[in-house]
Amino acid sequence: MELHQKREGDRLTLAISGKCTVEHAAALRAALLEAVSAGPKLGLDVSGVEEADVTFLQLLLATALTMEREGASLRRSGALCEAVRQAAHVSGFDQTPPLQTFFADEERDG
Amino acid sequence: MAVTAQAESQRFLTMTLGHEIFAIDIFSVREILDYTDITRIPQTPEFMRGVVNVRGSAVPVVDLRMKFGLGQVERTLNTRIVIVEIRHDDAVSVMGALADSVKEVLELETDRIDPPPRMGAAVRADFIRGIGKHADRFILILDVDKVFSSDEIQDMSQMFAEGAPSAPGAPFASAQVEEEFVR
Amino acid sequence: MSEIDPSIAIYVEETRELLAELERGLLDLENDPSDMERVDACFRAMHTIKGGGAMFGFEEISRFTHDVETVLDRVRAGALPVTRELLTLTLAAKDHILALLEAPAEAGPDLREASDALLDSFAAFLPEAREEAAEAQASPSQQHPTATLDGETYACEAEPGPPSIYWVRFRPAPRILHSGNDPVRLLAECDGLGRARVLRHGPMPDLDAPDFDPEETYGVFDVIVRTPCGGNDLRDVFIFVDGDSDVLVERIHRGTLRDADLDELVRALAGLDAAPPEVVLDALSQALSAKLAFITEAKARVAEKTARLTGAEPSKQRQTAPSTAAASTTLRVDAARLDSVVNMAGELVILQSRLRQAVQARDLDAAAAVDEDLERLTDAMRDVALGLRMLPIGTVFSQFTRLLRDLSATLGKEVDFEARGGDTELDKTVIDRIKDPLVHILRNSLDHGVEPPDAREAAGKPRRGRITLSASHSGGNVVIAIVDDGRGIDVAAVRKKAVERGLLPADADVSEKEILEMIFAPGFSTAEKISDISGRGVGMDVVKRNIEALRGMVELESVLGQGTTVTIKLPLTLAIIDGFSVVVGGDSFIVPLVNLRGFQERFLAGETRTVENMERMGELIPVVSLRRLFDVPGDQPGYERVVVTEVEGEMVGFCVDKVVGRQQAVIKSLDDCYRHLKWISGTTINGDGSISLILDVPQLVRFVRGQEDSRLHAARASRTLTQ
Repeated sequence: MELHQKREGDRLTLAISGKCTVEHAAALRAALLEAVSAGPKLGLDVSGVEEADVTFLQLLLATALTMEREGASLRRSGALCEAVRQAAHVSGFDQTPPLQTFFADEERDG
Repeated sequence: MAVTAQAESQRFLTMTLGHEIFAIDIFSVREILDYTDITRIPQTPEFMRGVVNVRGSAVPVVDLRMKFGLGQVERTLNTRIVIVEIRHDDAVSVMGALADSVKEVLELETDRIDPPPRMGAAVRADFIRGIGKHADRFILILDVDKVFSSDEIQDMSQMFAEGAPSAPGAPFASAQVEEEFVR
Repeated sequence: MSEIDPSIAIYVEETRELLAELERGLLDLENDPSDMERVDACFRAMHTIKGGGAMFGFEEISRFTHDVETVLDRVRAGALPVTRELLTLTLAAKDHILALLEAPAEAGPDLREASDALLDSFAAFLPEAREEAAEAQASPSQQHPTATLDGETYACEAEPGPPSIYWVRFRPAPRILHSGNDPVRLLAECDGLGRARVLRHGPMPDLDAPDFDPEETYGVFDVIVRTPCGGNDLRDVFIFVDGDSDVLVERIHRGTLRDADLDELVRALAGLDAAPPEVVLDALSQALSAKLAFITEAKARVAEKTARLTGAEPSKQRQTAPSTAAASTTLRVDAARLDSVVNMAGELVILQSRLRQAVQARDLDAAAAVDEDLERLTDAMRDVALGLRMLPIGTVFSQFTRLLRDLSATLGKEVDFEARGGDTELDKTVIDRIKDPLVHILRNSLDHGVEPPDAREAAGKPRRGRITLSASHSGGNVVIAIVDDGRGIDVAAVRKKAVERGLLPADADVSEKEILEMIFAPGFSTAEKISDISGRGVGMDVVKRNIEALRGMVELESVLGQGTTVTIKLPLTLAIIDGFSVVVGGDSFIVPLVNLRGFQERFLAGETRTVENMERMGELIPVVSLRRLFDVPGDQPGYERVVVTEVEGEMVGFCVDKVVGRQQAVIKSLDDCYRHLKWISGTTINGDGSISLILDVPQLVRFVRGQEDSRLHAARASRTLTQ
């Protein structure tokens, strides 16, 4: 798994790529926590994710929930790669309310 | 658990059998029990005193004094059963040794332990790992694994079971066996 | 997936069991090729093996089983008949899978070649074009006019009839990922079986929650799936996580629904993540009946279809609870037994509080009542706990069917093998250890007993021989009998051989039974030439020794020209023995109840010998003084109790000082250094911490007999000398 942060003004984009599986879950959580605490305008770029298991989807959901609590919302920037789309689809994560917009096709800003 | 000599010094448990002082590697010792009733097992040599209950298992007790030919242990307040772990053909088993008394835990420097004398010792030379000296007395250090895995203990059938041919109608046991059996 | 994944070990273990099941199924099919349930079971076993193979990195197994599975599926679909040839081939495939399973790491080129050779043979049973088969299989599901599954292929075989709607509830164990199972992958598989709609709900901690463990799995996945496959296919998806995670698969509707209907059903599940299944099913059936009312109405317009549709009325489907049967096959322990253990544990808690009350009130009567109840409960609990270790012996029997089938082919003999009483239960340890002796005896029966077909015909017997293996309970024992209708044992030949081997004096006056016993003596073999099958240096003496190590007995009976019967008697369990505690001087012994026939008494005057005779019910029986036999220290009392036992049909009494009473003894084995004392089967620790020796009465009698024989022999010898 690789992480890249890109900051444009108060907008922070975290690009996640590679294998996002249980081995990297703790690291990803730490990175997401840091990104969330940096400000309300967080975008995630998951277009480079090659493999995603339940931990990855759970972290997305947890992030979305936490941001919702803070009155913010999690945005996706960049395309939805097949690995993530498929994983989210078969497990129903794409239909969970906090993530519905994240996985919706239209929203794309990066 | 028996650990071979590597360190500069080793610790031993000393005990008495008659007038002799013996020592065994502390690593072989599992625990020391007060004398308790020993359940006799018939048709075994006299030095095999029987079994004792050590937390739910029946552990054989050997009367070392008798085995070494130093007379029978008289039961006194000081009599103890030393429970040891022995290795024998890769298996670890637990046995008890009857001792007149248990003295102390001694530290002996490895280079102060001499090889056993060829003869003249109180017990068979191959049972002795070495001779140590402490407070001007000689101490025989026993090779516990060898003592307890000796043929007399591990294969008592040599001495006693031949009198019982397993197939009926095959009477080739001799009268001599019967004699041994009742001795 | 890492190398040390424990779930791989589970896969290997489960595959072994599945292969055993497969073999049983195939052999049953040999007897009844029309048993479609068996075909189905074989197919499912193969299917599960294949699925797991791919999942756990056994690529070669997965590759190999693919075509085998396809062939079995064709049999299942009725496209192929069950033939002996096919069964032989599938049995070989089963052996090969086992070899692949046990091969270290990657399958070597040898194994791959073996795979290919077998696959070549299987190719003959495969349809010429795979598409045709797929179509043939898909056709049943097309009967229904509203089936919308056409054009989509799913990773399962279609069940006959219309597709069904299933509700799958999957609540992963929090640490499911640690066993290498990713819920997302399982759900993807589920998705591959049909059109699935998934609702993920239930707890999800905030990212910054202190107890959030990103490696754990949270929440519940509810899946509504429309599938042409059966519920078992869905269950198979979760087969490796079934133990830890909650998995529920229920058919909620037989018939199809539109995608939008599935969405609606999923919505009906919202908020029910913690609800029990009944509540969820209620919600689903409400949502369904609204839909179905509409659908039924629509269907009613298609007049000729109406009748058929009402037959598939869905709302009552769930009462058939299809999951129970499947669950019980994966349970290793009978659930009823577990339940009773739990109940008894509850009783124990109550007793404990009653005891406390009694103690606090210093009420001895109340405490005595508790003690009584506790004794009853302890007995019952022990029985149930031991029952947990009990397995039907049939699990080994089935392996013998295969063994004899293959052996008779090798030996050019024809034999019918029948195993009876396979449901007789025995301690697992005993079952594990009786297998080899049984194999040996069966081999002997076939090799030395049953004659070649021509010889049988010449002897006026049917060409096909017959070997029967039966198991039954008898008292505290299980009796296993192996009966063949072969040539029997030539007692004269045995005697001659025994004399040649120096096992018997030439002029010995021994009964036929005793001569037959010689076969069990070390160094004896009646086989004139050493064959491949038996007589490989392992003789019947080893068989006897193994059986005796299980506290069992083995006996031979034979009628020349008519056959041989080997009878094995085994104790039900090795762990506990029911017996009477007796005391001689300071020694205490347990006499097992199985051998006990009664008690008598005797008064002594003067010296006694070790063995004397006394009268019992008008007959003289030998009586052994344990005091003298065991050299018990102390004075001989003038009054003794006699414990009467029966061994091999003979009564033998043992004199003791006192009979203490009945006792259930937990057997502790005696240290190996006492192994020469065959007449001790173990020790037991009494309530007061003292130790009793458990007597092996048959061995003890044998021992005494040996003693007496040698004494008489010695007496005769010395008499001869003095003459």
